[in-house]
Amino acid sequence: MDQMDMVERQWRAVCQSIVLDSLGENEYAIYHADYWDSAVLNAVDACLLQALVARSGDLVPEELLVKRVASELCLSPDPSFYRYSHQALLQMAFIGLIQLKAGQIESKIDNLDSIR
Amino acid sequence: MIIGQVPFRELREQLRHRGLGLQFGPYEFRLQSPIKQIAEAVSILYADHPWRSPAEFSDFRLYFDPTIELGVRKVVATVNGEIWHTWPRRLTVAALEWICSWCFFRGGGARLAVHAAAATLPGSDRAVVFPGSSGAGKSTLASTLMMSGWGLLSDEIALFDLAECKVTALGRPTILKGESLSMMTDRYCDQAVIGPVGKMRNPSCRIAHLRPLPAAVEICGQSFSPAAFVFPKRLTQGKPILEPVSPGVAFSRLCQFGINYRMLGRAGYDAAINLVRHVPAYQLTYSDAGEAERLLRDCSEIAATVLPATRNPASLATTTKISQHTTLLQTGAATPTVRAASGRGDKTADNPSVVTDPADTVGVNTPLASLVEGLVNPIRLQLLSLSQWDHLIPLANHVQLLPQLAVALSACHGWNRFDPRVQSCLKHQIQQSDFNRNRIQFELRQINQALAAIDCPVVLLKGAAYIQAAFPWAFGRRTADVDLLVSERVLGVVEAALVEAGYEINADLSKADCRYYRRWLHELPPVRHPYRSVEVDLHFRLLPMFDTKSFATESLVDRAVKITGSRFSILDPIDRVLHSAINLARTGEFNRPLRDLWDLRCLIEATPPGIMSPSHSNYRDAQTGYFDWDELISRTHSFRLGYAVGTVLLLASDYIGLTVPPEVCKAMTGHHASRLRRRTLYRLMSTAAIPRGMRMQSRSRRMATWTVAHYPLPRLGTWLDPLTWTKRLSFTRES
Repeated sequence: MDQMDMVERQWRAVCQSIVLDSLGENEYAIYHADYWDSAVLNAVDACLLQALVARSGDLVPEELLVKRVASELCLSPDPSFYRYSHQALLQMAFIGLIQLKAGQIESKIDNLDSIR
Repeated sequence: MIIGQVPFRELREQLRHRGLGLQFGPYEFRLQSPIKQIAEAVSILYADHPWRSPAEFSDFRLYFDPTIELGVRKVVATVNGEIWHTWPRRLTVAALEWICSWCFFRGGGARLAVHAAAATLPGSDRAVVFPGSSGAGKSTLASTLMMSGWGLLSDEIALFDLAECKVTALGRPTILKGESLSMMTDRYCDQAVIGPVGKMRNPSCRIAHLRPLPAAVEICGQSFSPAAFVFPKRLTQGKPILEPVSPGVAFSRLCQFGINYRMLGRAGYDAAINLVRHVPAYQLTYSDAGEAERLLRDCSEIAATVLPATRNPASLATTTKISQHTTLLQTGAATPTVRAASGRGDKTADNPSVVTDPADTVGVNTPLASLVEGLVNPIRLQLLSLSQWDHLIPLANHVQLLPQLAVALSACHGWNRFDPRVQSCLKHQIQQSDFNRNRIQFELRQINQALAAIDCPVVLLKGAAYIQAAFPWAFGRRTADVDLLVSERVLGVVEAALVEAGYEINADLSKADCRYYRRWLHELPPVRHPYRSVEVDLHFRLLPMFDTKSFATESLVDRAVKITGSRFSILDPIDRVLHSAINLARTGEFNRPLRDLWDLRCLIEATPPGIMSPSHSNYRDAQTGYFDWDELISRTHSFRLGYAVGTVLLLASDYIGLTVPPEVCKAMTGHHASRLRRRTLYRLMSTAAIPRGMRMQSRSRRMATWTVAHYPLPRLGTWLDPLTWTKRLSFTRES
């Protein structure tokens, strides 16, 4: 992933009324009230989403977001974590939970079939 | 008396005429059919059900009629007035059972319908639920469990009530196909009673149904707490294995197999969360259903599970900490509810009543007149009896005006006076409409994001426009797609932006189809987002290019009115009416004519003056409100569309009660109304639009619908283009 892209890419939560329920140690169910949709997230995904929702729809640069989540989960923000977080954000954008700043283009999701 | 004790001739007569009343779990069905196979299936498969006449009000009214299509004998099914596609005669019984299942899947707003089999443990009142897709082996398992002493609740559908999350017994047969059918007849030859056998072609196999044992019919309607979810997976060989599944996986699968899960909104989510938190889930891989039954019977963990009897949904909406440091999400702010009565349908109620003298109208269908009256003055429907509702609901559903009727009724003061069964039906309609509205609004926000960088007017058409503009009369109206109109100059840019945002052309469309769209139609090939699947049609014209009257729409885009608080525009009020009329008359979209005619009436009579274009000053302030008929006449003449628009307006006047000044039709078409009614186009449209009789269809109506859908004939150049023939040949193959 291009480091430059990541610095410039900015995300925002689409929906402010998201319900999150813990189902287990590393599984969270979310309910997306704007779209009457739900999904299952892991702890990192859920933390990324929470960080965006907490900003009330404001744009958050991807790099800043990932660093904050790594810090909250006491994980090392190494390249693999950045890559994972990027894919997680793309998948959440795909199902309409979050979106990029207007005009920015989403890059390819690695495993699209898994979330269709 | 039970059905099995009734002479076959008497059963057939009842099915042919009054119909048969059947209760499956919480729902009342009325079944009518002159087909012998249906009577045979009922006499065998429902032999232990009570013999009785239909109730005064049925939740589902099913008709199965024989028909012939292209020389092939078929069965046409009608559910609550909605006519379905036809079935081959060899699958008559399968169609009956499949459509009953569909009723459970789509029919109830207060229950979560999961694609699953369910049965109670022997000697217990706790149920094991087997969710799975077709072919997972749940029916084979359910049949085996029933024959082994388990209490069968259902085969295809596990129906959970939302309050207590209990599963209801339905007392219906199980479906058996191919090897499963052979296995069951071999293994349980003495006890298994199999109904008429049909033949499937893809995959090629036999299909039949196993009659529920009397014990299964006896518990029909009772509810049972779930003890476990077991996701079956049938293999060709190997010992059965039962492995635990995590709650996350169970939740995900429950959502996947919950056919009406999303439509239930937050209530469905709460129910699913409650279930996966308290009910253990397992994956069962098996090859022999008998061995699987023994494994399940001996599983002590399943027998020990107890679901709390009641729950407080609010307690489940709490957020959960992910780590010690994370912040909490905002919750509980968006519980979907049935809309409050105030503020909805007010404009409809304020509409001028139908002023057209009934004597001046042609062939007014009485139930249809009641329906229109109900839409205009909902309070009058309080006087209807249950059996009158039993007739009105299928009609309203057939013409796709039931959702709007439901909303209008929910807004009237006497809502609580309606019978609870009628209320339940109407509430479900409102819930479905809310879901539809929510889905379209979300799609519009996504399109808005995709087109954010493009600075050009984007005009919404039809249903999506009415939703975005929040027209009160359109509350309840459903739409399946989003229609956008842009200037031809920016068509490429807008299309590229949608593709960039992930929208894709339907994979079923060939390259030739796509070229045909671009060359001869009025819109680009439809695109969808792969996750949301709402069809987005990008229009560059209002009439297909092959239509001799097709015209450039630059002026319409320029006149369009901006929707407050949105980046989208809506057509100018006059153009809106023009488009509504020509869309019905000249684009082949004659699928729901009465609903579209009602739209037309509302567009003319219920348009608030505040959103009229300022360019129009010549308003008429009479029975017709503020609508500028002179402007409409002028516009239709400028586009050479007077005849089509005038005919549609007359149709709306005759059947929907639109007040059209007498001189308007004459000015548009050159004919008086009485003469226009004798013209072929009017007669065809009238026949195609108006349902008659209990079945609401006839050969002449089908023929008229086909003819109107193919009106007008394309211009010569279209016929000479090989693309046209490629498309038509491909369409014929698909048919």
